[in-house]
Amino acid sequence: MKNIRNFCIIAHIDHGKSTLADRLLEYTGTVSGKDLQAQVLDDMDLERERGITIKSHAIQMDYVLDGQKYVLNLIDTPGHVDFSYEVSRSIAACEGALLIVDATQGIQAQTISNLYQAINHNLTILPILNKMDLPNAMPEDVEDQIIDLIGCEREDILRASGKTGEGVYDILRAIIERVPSPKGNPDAPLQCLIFDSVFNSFRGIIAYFKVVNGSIKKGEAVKFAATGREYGVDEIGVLRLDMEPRKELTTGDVGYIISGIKTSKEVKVGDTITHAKGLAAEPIAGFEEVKPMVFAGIYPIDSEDYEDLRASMEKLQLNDASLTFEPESSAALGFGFRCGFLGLLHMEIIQERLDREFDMSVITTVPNVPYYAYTKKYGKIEVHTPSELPEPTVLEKVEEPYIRASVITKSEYTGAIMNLCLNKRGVLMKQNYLTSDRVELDFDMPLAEIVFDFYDKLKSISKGYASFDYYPLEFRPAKLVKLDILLNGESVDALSSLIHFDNAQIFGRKMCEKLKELIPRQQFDIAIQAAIGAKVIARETVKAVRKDVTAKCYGGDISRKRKLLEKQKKGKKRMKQIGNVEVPQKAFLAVLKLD
Amino acid sequence: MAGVYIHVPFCYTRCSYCDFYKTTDQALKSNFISAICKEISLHPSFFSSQKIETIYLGGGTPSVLTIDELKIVFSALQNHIDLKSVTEITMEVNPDDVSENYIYDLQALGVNRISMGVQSFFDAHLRKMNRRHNSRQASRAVEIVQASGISNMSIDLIYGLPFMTNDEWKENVQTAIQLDVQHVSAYHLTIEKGTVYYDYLKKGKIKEVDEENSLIQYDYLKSSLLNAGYEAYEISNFSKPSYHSKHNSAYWTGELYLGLGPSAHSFDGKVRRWNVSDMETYYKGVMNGGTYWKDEKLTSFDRYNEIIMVGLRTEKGFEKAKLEVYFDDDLKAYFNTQVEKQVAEGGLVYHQGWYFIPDDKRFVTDAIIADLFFVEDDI
Repeated sequence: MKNIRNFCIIAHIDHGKSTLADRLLEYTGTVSGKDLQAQVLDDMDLERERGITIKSHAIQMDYVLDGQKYVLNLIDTPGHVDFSYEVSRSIAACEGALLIVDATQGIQAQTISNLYQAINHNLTILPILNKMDLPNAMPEDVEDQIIDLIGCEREDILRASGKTGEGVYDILRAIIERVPSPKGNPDAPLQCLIFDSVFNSFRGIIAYFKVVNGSIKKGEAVKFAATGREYGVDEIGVLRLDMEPRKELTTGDVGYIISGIKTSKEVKVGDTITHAKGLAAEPIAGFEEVKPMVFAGIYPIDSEDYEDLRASMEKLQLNDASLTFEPESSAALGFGFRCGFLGLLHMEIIQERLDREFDMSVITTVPNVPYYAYTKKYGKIEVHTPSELPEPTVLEKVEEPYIRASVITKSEYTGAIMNLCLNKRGVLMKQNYLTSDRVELDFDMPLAEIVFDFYDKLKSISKGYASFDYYPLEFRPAKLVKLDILLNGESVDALSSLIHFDNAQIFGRKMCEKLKELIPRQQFDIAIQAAIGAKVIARETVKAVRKDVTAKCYGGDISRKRKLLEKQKKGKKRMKQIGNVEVPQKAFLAVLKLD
Repeated sequence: MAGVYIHVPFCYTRCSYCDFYKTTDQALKSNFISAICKEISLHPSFFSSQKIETIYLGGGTPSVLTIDELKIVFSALQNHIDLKSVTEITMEVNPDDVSENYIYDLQALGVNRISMGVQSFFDAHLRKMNRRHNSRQASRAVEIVQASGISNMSIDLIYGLPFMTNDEWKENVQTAIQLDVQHVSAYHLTIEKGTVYYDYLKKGKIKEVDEENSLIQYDYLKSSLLNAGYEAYEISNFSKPSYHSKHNSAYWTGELYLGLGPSAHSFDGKVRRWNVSDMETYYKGVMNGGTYWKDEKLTSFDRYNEIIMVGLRTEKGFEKAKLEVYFDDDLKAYFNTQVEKQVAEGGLVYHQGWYFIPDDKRFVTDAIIADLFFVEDDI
């Protein structure tokens, strides 16, 4: 146990976490250089493309230092706020954290929030300046930021380059010398912390865990505390490049368990594995049920694909328990599912995975956050979809989720960012200069305001020099209304949205304008209206086509013209028919990205 | 019945709107004459199985051919076709090629219908279209034809021109009516790729006429011609009663036709075939027995779509019975759904076995056609 080191990496996207992690694998001989497919840890195509880690992973390395053999467990963490709970469980499984900061860019908001989590869990922080090979590295400035932030000594900060391998051996030495070995009692009742799970089509659900106390052996009966379910330990082992089975794992070890679990719902990140018999151990503190914070309808483009979509969603859920869905039907889009996501990125990922892995083309409706609605008759109900909001006449009050948002930016963008956040109903809670030209701004904001276009706007007004993170606060009262979109007088449920009263006017107008752009002209005028209840607050008209006929159609024109009109017909066929109006799919998607 | 089309791909100048295959190299004419005569001889089965009723010489500009050149072509036709059953022989002419003698000789060859490319009676328009005649020549040419024994003449006009006012168009329509021709083909300008206008459009030198003015011009055209006793028997074609173009009408009713000459299309009831749009390849192919065409075998869905498409461009529309031979249960059900919807929306009228587009929707014919089309899903 004293030769085990469990550590994670905290870094902002693009700060070189994965590249540096690959170097650690290479320098410890865990993988050879030629096997090193760029960024071993990010093994989903999507992750590699987006350059972010969506799910946590773990990998074990052996390293000999000064004649002593050490086992190093790197527990990778997701790099996005949508997955902050998973991050917290990964952190809880470690004793140390590498704080990787891009020497050309400095500290970012994402880094700070994860860093605070690590400090709260009493992890030893090893600060590392990465990308030291770049000519625009500014190590002294960034060191100043780090010293301000964690109060370390300048000489504690390591300098490295994932690209050239500079400083990698120093990092390995520091991990061994500075990160403490795991504490815990091998003789105490078994307690394992689950920090991740994956789905394997042959083996079922594989849970990743750290043994906090006691030891676990193959063949034993274990119990998962949160679900109360019991399983036989079919296989346990450690995570090298592949899974390596072991007979026993003991306190401080990081490994995997296979126990015939079929669905990811049974394995909850943060849950505790204990022995089914004998002394009952307490569950490890900090477990939470992950709750979806963004809801949207997902519908097959072709309504005949509904069952295929269900099968695809079920498969996705096998390895992503944070995805929730239940059947829903829409007058406009037919049968589909109301889905809950951890956040917007999570939603996009699910959509892309449906497309890539299951070849399912889907329409996603306007997303919304969960609300609490209060009525005399039913008391508090949770509202996940516009149609669930009670009529204004019986609605007593509505509450919406708030977040504490933290933005770190160059001081020159402070004004613009404040404006943005205040326009998003934010309240400034803290303004803190990290250095003379870097400022941290904290706001309390409704989560709903960041669901739409907050990231894009933040990026554009700060020219990319702002980073953003948040954590959830409580629910607070909201002036919520249901905004309907009508096409030729017919309400399109798939375009309805829940929105704050103050934003309804502008949002309604933009929706109408966008739809006018996207709905092609037809044989008749199309009225596009935005309405709250019976009150129309915005209107646009798509004028009827008055001329489309081509002048000539003689012997030599027939084939070409037929093909031209067939193409036109194919385009129309792909549209959704709403009343007598043909609406292209992109109309449903583009409303997510209003200017 | 069946028709023969001969494409004469020669022009002295290129009109700015034209995307037909043509060449201004007159030196190729003798090769063309030889090749056409040879090509006529390559289709004995078509001629023996079909009763040829119409012949149409189009272009290009057929009137760049001399009478002697035309004589060679006509004698080749005579050798293979029983011209006695032919009731309509049309030739397209350019006004400045028209003389008393030329028309007289055409008539002697058997031509009994003249289609003249007038386009506009305003010299300014003609110059901007790069036409080689002027307005005076056009009126004069019409009079010459009328004074000859040919009593069936059509003139072509273009509207929807970027530089033409609505009043100018009205004047053109009135002039055409005063000339008392039997037939008017009036085409809304379509700016096609490969034309001078397309280039202008890309460069922003011209702008397409807005729909509002297009519609004003079309409405004026149609109502004026109807008032003057013409029938609007197809979107772009108007004629005095019994003067419909027989040859062109056959395209819209699905009759067979044989196209001769470069870029000419043929239809034998099952296959559409088109000759290469290049004089040299065409010549070599015909003379050396090579392949100088491409073709496409039509599926029953293709035929179904075609019948709807060409039929709905005409005043009469299409006959339901003609489609029914292509129906299976699915297509039948689909057809019924689509026509019921269009009838309800006012895009179609059903009368005694025929579907047609009502007057007020003629200008949006394409959308109605496409709506009735059957297309299979992409896999």
